Amino acid sequence: MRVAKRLPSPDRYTGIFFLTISALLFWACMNIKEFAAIGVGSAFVPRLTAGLLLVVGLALLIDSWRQPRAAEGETTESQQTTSSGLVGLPAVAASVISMVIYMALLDPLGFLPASALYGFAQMLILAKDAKRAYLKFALIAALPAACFYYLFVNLFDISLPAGILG
Amino acid sequence: MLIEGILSVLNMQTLLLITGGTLLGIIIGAIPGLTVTMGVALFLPVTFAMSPVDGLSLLMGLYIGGTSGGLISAILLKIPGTPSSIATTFDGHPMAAQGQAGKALSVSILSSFFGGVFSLGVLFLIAPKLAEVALQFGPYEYFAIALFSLTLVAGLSGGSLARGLGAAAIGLVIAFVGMAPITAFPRFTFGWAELDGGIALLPALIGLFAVSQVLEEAESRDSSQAPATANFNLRQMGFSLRAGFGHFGNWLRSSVIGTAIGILPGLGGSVCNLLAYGAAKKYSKHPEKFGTGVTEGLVASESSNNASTGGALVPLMTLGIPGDNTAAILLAGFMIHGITPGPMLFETQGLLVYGIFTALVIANLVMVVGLFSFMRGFVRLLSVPKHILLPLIMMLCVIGAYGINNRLFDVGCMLLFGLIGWLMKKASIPVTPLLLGFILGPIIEVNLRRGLMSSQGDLMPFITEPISGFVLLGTLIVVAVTAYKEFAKSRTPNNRAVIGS
Repeated sequence: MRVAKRLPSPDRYTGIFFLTISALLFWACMNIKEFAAIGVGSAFVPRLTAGLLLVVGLALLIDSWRQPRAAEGETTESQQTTSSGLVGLPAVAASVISMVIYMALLDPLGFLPASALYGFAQMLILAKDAKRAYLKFALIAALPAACFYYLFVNLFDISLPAGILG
Repeated sequence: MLIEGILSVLNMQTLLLITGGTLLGIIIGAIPGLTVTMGVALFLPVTFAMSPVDGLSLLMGLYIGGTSGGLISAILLKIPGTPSSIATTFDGHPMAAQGQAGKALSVSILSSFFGGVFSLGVLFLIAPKLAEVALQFGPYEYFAIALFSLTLVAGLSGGSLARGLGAAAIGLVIAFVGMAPITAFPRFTFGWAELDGGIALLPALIGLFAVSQVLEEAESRDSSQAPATANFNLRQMGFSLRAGFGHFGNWLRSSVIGTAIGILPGLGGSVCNLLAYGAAKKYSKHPEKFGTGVTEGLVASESSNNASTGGALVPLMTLGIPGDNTAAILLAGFMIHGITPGPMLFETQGLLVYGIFTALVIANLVMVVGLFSFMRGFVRLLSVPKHILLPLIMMLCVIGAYGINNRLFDVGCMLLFGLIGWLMKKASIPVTPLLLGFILGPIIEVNLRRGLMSSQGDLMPFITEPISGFVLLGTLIVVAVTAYKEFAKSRTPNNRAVIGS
């Protein structure tokens, strides 16, 4: 008899995640000071929510043991999505890093230069198979950034960091 | 009040905003991957400096345009621009392939218009009456209705009750951050002064719906490829008046389905277009032709999805409870201007309410004229590659998040929520219950605590008050039926066979 190696169900991870949030919420509720003389205090609804997360997390964990786990070599629909999704994980990581750098540069550089730099970097990340036209990307990143800055600051009265151009 | 409301919109500036919003909405709806929810969220910051009538008119234009724009890519590319246009692809694309793209587009545009106008009529007639009834509601009723809406959304939007409820609970947890209602004692702020006021709704919305989309596109393999817009025949857009009248029954049925589904929380346009398509097929004289390119399918899909727009505004404007993502963002649009939707809206902001109704009618008219006039331009815009488009959208996201309080903290929140939204999609956890939990959390908590204070800590009035008791019973039934269905599904012969092997 062939014994297939079994992969854990994705429900298990979701269940563990909900249980972790539930435990953290119960713990955080202990720091809430109660003032209510009548009715319930500020910790009541958060505790109820922690209880709901506990029940839901346990239900998902139990369900993950009950349901058939996909054997190695077999693929379920959700796992197909996951496996194809992993292909672009470096691109997601690069995008997140570029967004964080964009945020960090907003104040010192200002909206316009930071947005132009970010736009250029993000276009390079997303371009993938398309031809990387560096000059075109730089122009397309800088011009809309300038237009947005002008439109929002002068027309819509929204304050944006001016930075080095201020 | 009605006349004043209508006149408040009939000036050049507001009309231009409605027109611009509707045309931009069509573009956003037409581009696969960009949703009407994302579009409305991105343009919220633009409304900061506007008057409430102007700002909300712009958002309503985006809402109507975005819901309708999906039909272009559904017919020409066989890719629904929005989930509301899924059923439009079934007959729209076969018609386009048979050289009838113009006819398919014109039938869809007019169906969208009639569906939208029907639901506005219902909104206009029902909303003021419902608001009068809702004025009698106290904390028991509000608690029950908010809990019912959240449970319905959690049960219906994710395909799994447990995941939906878990997501709703996470939304509640996010809503707890900041000053506790009634006692104003800071909770879960961990000493961060920025968290004292709670997590702002707008950065969270932009993160969940726009930033997560950028990350999703970064992950996909083909974001660099622009969709191939085939050279379809867009000339013959006319069809006979007689053929139009022949669809009256189908249009009316589909519009009723769309409006009714729109009113119910958790479903919306993405479900009603499929339901209306199924109903049209069932009552058709030739159901076998559905899917091969018949206009009946288009009429059903497009009139129902646009009818859901007016329906979704009924609970939002009368109870202050959004039924879906876009309605939640529209709620934020109201709140930005210091207006809380609910039954009092009709009493205190009657001018604004009738102004919004007028803006919706104008947006529907602009949608028809705009789609017929600029169809070729919209089709050309479909070919803008996403690696160009998405970074520009991200810049708008940053403007939106920063603009609300002029602080980088909100931009950080937006990025965090973008990451959360992307991770939730990866884990098949629905985002809608989280958003509804975040918005309805304070309503649920405040009314539960107020109710308990007025009943001296007794829970019984929540059950014994007729409306509250009835709605809570409905909540229990929703949970029980959804749980039973999932249990029954897990015990189908197919599943058992796999378990036994």
